Amino acid sequence: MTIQKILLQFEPKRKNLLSALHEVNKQFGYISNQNSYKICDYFSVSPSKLYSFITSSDVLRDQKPPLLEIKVCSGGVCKMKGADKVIKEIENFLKIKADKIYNGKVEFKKISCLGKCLVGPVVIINGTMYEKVNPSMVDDILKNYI
Amino acid sequence: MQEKLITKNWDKIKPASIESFINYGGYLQLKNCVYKNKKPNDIVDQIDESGLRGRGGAGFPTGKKWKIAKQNAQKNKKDVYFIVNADESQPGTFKDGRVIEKNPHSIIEGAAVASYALEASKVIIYVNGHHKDYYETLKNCVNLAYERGFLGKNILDKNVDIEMQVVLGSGGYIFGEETTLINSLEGYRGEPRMKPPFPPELGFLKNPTVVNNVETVINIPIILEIGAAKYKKIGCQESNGTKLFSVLGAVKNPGLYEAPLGITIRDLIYDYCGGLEKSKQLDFVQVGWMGNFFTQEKLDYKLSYQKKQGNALVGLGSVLVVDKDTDIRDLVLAWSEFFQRESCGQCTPCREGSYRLLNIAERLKNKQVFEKDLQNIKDLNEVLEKTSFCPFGCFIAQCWKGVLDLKQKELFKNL
Ligand SMILES: Cc1cc2nc3c(=O)[nH]c(=O)nc-3n(C[C@H](O)[C@H](O)[C@H](O)COP(=O)(O)O)c2cc1C
Ligand code: SF4
Ligand code: FES
Repeated sequence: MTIQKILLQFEPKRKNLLSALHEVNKQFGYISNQNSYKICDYFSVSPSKLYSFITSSDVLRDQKPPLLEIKVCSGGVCKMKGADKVIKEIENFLKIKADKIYNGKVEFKKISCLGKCLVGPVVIINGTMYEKVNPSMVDDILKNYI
Repeated sequence: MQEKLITKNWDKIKPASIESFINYGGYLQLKNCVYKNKKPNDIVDQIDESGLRGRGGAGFPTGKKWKIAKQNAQKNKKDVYFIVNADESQPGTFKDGRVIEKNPHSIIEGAAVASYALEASKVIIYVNGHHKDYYETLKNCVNLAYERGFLGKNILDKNVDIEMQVVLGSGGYIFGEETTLINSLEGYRGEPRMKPPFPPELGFLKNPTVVNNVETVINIPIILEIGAAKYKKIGCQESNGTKLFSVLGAVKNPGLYEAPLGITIRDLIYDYCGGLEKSKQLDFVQVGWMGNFFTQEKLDYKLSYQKKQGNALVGLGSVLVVDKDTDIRDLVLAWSEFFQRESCGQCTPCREGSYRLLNIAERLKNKQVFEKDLQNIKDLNEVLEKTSFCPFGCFIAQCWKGVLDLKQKELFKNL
């Protein structure tokens, strides 16, 4: 679907901005600079306001999604169950540090509790959730993606 | 043991099926309202009399909130909006998510009854942006309710309109705060607004708006079913009804439990969760939010919304049992990372303070604290408590205060 078609599904009122952005994000994986301007035109919002809206959200992206997106819960309960060791193991495997490097191909983030604490530590890779992860499972899980 | 109200039919109901929900008494209270032509204000009175308090953390009396919104609507000739807050993202809390997994239609019925009582022009269910599955579930439920005539124009062929929409939220802890949630719905950046005016005065699109937590909403049909008087008898003074508790940590059976408010921490842990895991020794229990700690001698404190000696304020009902093998430094670091990550950045004390405190938490973890750090924590706490724009900043201060009260000696012993 083109950006115009997506936008036309929504009345051009600011209260529809969130839902429209989710739709664009879903179709293209992110909200590109080019599309941003079209969105701004359509909803009569300034680019700076749009940018500030998108960047306050955890799920809307203003950058192309990476090939490999890894998120690890670093909430208290997952930590009590050994999430830090899982994070170390992933760092060793990929040779990058969590929350530090972003090269467009791999993104590795620590995230806040998602309420899955009963089955923690939880790791989410490209949208798939892995539960009760321990360090010895990390190699096998990551091999599916590399 | 108290009979179950909220979770009563959870094992029997097929969550995706509206028939299954109806077979177990679903939509009966909405039908009652509509067919018996109940006066909306009578329902508001009934909710007020039941003593129901909001389950979204602060425990504000629900009936009172509804009345303020209705009065404002009347006075200013405005529409009331009703928003269901399904943004749950407090660490260690999973009650609202479980309601969506186990009995999602109950949320739709509760919201519909609330809309009837408030004579609201629209209901919006705001779902945490991280949980697309919950969003799809609730959207399906709402569609089914429209098909069955429980929602829409002239519902159940009577002269009552109830409109409902499910919205996928922005994702992020601060969006659970009601004015941030409203900002995000209106297309503005996710940051809290100045209060007052409070949403029941001036909320969504400048209309009086009631924001209620998912668990608050599902209590509404229950109150109509059993009656306000009976509901008020459950629980304890100023905290009526049952509550969902997310219990985690060093207990034999962690999980979600429904128990009457006023229950002691001890009873919850030992009667409901099977006590501590074998060979684990209790260090402390954290209730509701970070820093609200209770040690062995305080296990008989009652879980309640009333601030008084001998009570443990429940907040969202999360209970984390921490044993002596757990290093408090790991928890402090997890909490500090959370605060730094989730601060919306609008005000300096919280944006900068959360970052500085994370630095200190990292030094604590590496056992390399400086002499200055202790005083810095205290100073930052004072600034956060006195000057931060929204309660989030105070949550940070409360967390560190709790940590220092309990563990200062242990954490700073190398100095
Ligand atoms: C920082 C912050 C986060 C909050 N997060 C939530 C949340 O995730 N869910 C929720 O229902 N209420 C949350 N609240 C409380 C809401 O602002 C609001 O008071 C609540 O939804 C009202 O519902 P109730 O009256 O049914 O409790 C939060 C408040 C603050 C200050
Ligand atoms: S206290 Fe924190 S979360 Fe609240 S407005 Fe300030 S920066 Fe934002
Ligand atoms: S702490 Fe990891 S899911 Fe809750």
